[in-house]
Amino acid sequence: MNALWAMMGLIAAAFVGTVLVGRRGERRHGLASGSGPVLVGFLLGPTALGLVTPGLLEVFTPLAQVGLGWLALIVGLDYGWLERRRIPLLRTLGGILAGLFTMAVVACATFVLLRRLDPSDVPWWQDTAGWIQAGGVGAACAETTRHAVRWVADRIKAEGPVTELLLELSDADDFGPFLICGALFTLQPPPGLRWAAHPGVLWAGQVALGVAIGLLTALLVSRAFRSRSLWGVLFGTSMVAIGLAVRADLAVLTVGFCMGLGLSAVSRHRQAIRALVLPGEYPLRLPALLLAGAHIDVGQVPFLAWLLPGVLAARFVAKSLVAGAAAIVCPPLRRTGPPLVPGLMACGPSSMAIGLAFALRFPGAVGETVLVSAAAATILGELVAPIGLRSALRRAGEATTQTGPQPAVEVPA
Amino acid sequence: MSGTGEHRRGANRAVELLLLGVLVGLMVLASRATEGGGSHTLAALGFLLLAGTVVANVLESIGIPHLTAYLLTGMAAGPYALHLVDHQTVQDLSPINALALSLIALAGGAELRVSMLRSTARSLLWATLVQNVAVLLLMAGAFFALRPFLPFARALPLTAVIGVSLLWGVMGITRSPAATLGVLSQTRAKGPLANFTLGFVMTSDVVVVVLLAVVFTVARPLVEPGTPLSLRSFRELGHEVLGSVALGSTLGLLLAAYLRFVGRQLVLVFVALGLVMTQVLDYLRFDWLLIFITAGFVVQNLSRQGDHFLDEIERLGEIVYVIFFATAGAHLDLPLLGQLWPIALVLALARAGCTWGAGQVSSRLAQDPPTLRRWGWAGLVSQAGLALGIAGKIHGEHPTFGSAFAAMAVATVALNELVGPILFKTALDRTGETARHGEPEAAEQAAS
Repeated sequence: MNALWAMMGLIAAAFVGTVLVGRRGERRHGLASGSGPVLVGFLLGPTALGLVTPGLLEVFTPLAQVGLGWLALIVGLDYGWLERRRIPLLRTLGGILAGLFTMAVVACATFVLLRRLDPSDVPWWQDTAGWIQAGGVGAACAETTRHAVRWVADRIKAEGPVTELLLELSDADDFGPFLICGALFTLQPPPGLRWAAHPGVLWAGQVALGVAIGLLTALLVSRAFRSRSLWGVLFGTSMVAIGLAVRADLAVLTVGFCMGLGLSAVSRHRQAIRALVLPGEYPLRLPALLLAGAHIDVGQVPFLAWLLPGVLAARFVAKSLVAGAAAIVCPPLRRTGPPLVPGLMACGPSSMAIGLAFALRFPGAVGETVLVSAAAATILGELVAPIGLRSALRRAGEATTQTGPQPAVEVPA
Repeated sequence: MSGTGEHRRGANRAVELLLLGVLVGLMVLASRATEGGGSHTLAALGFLLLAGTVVANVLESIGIPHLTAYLLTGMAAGPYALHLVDHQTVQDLSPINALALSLIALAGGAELRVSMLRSTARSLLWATLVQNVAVLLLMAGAFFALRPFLPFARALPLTAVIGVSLLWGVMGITRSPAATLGVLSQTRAKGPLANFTLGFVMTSDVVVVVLLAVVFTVARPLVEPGTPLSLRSFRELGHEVLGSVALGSTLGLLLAAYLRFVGRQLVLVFVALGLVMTQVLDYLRFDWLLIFITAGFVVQNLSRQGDHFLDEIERLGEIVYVIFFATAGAHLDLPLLGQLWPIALVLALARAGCTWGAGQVSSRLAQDPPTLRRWGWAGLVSQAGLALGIAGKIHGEHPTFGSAFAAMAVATVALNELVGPILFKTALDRTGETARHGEPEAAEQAAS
C-alpha cells in the first residue's frame, strides 16, 4: 500500500466517522468503545496482513500527532462539563481519584511483573525504563470511557442519578492519565531538547506551555474576532502548541489537554468554541484509532503471554476496588450491584491515544507494550463493559427500555 | 464610527500585536531550545496561520488586503528574515499549496455563472484578445529593449534574444486567480468590475496555456538554432486540454450528484481532491487546475448546488488561503529581490503600463462603462504561481539561460504579487463594489 492509498483510507475513515455522527446520533452506531477501527488497523498493520508498513506509518506520524493533540484539546475543553452543565467539584475529584488509583495499581502490578519476568541489576528505584513502561501501561489502562457509558445509556434510555454519576465519573477520570503522560515522557531526557532540565521542571514546562497557549487563544478569541478568523485562531494556536511539543519531544497529549483546560477556564466564549470544535471529535477519533491499531506490533512486546493477563487482572482488581469505594461513598451506586465492576472496564479513545503517543515517543518494546496493553484493555472492555453497564443500570432501575430502537440524540452542530 | 469605537478598535489591534509578539518570542525560544534550530512543520504551520490572521486584521485598518498581509507575514517569518520558518518547512508545506490551488480552481470555476459571462461577453472577448496578444508582444518588446541591462541576455545572439523575449512576453500575460479570488473573498465585492476581473482571469488561464504552447514552439528554434519546428507540443496540448475538460465535466457532475444526494462533509471531499487526486492527475499528465475550474463551472451552471458548493469551499479556504499565501511569502527570495529590484521594478512597471494601455484600448473597442474603462486593468496586475510555474518550465527546458531568467521572473513576480492585490482592492473600493456590511462576531456566529 502506498502513501496515497493510505491517505485515502484515512480520509475514508474520517468520512465514516462523520457519517456515524450524523443527524441520527453517533451512539446508535458502531461499538461502545470504538474498538472496531483499532482491529481494522491491527489487521492492516505489520503484525497481520502487513499492508501498512512501518515506513508508511512514519509518513503519517505528523498526522497522528495532530490527531492526538486535537483529541486531547477536545477532552480538555470539555473537561468538567457534561453537555452544558458543570460537573460538581466533588464528583470531578472522585473521578480524578478513581483514575489515579487505577493507574497506580496497574502501573505497580506491571512494574513488579516486568521485574520478575526480566530481572535486572538496576535497583528498582533507578529503573527508569521500567517505570516509563509500567507508568505508560497504567496511564493507558486508567480510564472508564465516557463514550461507552453514553452509548449504553442511550441504547437503554437510562436516566437517573446513577447514570448521571457514572457519566460524570467517567468524564473526570481522564485528568490524571493525561497529565502523568507528560511526567513519564520527561523521565527519559527528550532528544529534541537542547537544554537539560530536571524532569519536574520539564513537566511543569509542558503544563505551562499548554495553559499559556490556551490563555493566549482565549485572549485572541475575545478580541472581538470575527467569525472568519475564529477557526484560524483556534487551529493556529493548537498547531503551535502541538508543533512545539512534537519538536521538543514532549507529550502532545499533556500540552493539548492543558491548552483545552486553560481555554475552557477563562474564555467567555467557551460554549461557542465547544460547539465549533466538538463535531470534529468523531471524524478525528476514527483515523487516530485506525493509526493506533496499525502501529501495533506484538512481536516487539516481551513476555506478552504473561504480561497482558497480569495487566488486565490488575485493571480488574483496581476497578473492583473503585466500584466498592464508590458504592460506599455514593449510596445510589449500591443498587447497581456486582455488574458495575465489568461496566467500569470500558476504555477506548483516550487509552488508545495514550498508547499511540507512547509508541511514537518510545519506539520499540516500551512503546509497543503500552500500545498493546491499551488495545487489549479496549477490546476486553468492549466485550464485558456494555453488558455490565446495561445490567447495572437496569438493576438501578434507570433503564426505560429493554432492547430495540434507540433514541436519536442530536449532536451539537 | 464614534471616537470610542475607533479607540477600542485601536486598543484591540494593539493587544493582538502584543499577543503576536508573545507568540514570536515563544517560537524564537523554541528554535533556540530544540535540536536542529530550524522550524518544525507543525509549529511553523500554526504560526503562519495565526500570525497571518492577526496581521491581516491589524493591517486591514489601513486598507491593506488580507492576502498582502499574509504574504508580508510569510516574508517576515521566512528563511530570509526572522527564520521562524525555514526552507525545509516551506517544502514540507507544498501539499497545502496543492490543496489551496485546487480550492481556488474549484471556486474560480463555480464563480463563473453563464449569465455573468453573457453580460460581460463583449468586454471579455476584446480584453482577452488585446490583453493577451498585445501585452505579450509589448512585454516581449520591453524585454528586448532592456536587454543591455540584463547580463544573461547580453551574452545571447540576436535570434535567441528574440526567442527569450517572446518567452518573457508569455510570462507577462499570466494573472493570478488566487489573488483575484482572495481579494474578492475578503471584500465580497459585487459589480461590473468584480465580474469582469473574475471572468477574465479565469478564462485567460486557458488562453495562456494555449499561447504558451505556441510561443514554446516558435521560440525553441530561435533559442536553439538547428532545432526543427515541432508541432509535438500542440498534440500534447490537445490531449491535455481536451482530456482535462472532459475529466473536469465528469468530476463536476459527480460533485453535483454528491451535493444533491449526500451533501455533507464536503471538506473531506475537498481534502481528498486537493491532496490525493492532484497527484494522480499530475502523474497522468492532465492539467488539474483546468479540471477543477471546469468541475466548478459545471457544478454552478448545470446543477442547483452552486451556492452551497461555494460556501463549503469558503469555509475550508479561510484556513488554507492564509497558509498558502503566507508560505508563498516565506518562499520569496528576498536577497535575490534585493539584487535585481531595479530592473525587476522597470519590468513590473512596464507590465503594469502595458496592462493599463491594453485595458484602455479593449474598453473602447468593447464600449465598456466608465468604471471598467478606468479600473478594468487594476485586477490584472497580480501574478503568482502560474508565472513562477512557467519560469520553472523555461528553466528546465533551457538550462543555458534558464536560471537567470527564472531569477528575474521571481523578482518581478514578487513585486506584482505584493502590489497587485492592493491595486485591485483599491479599485473595488473606489468603484463602490466592496461590501460595506459588518460581519457578525465569532461568538454570535458560533452560538447561533
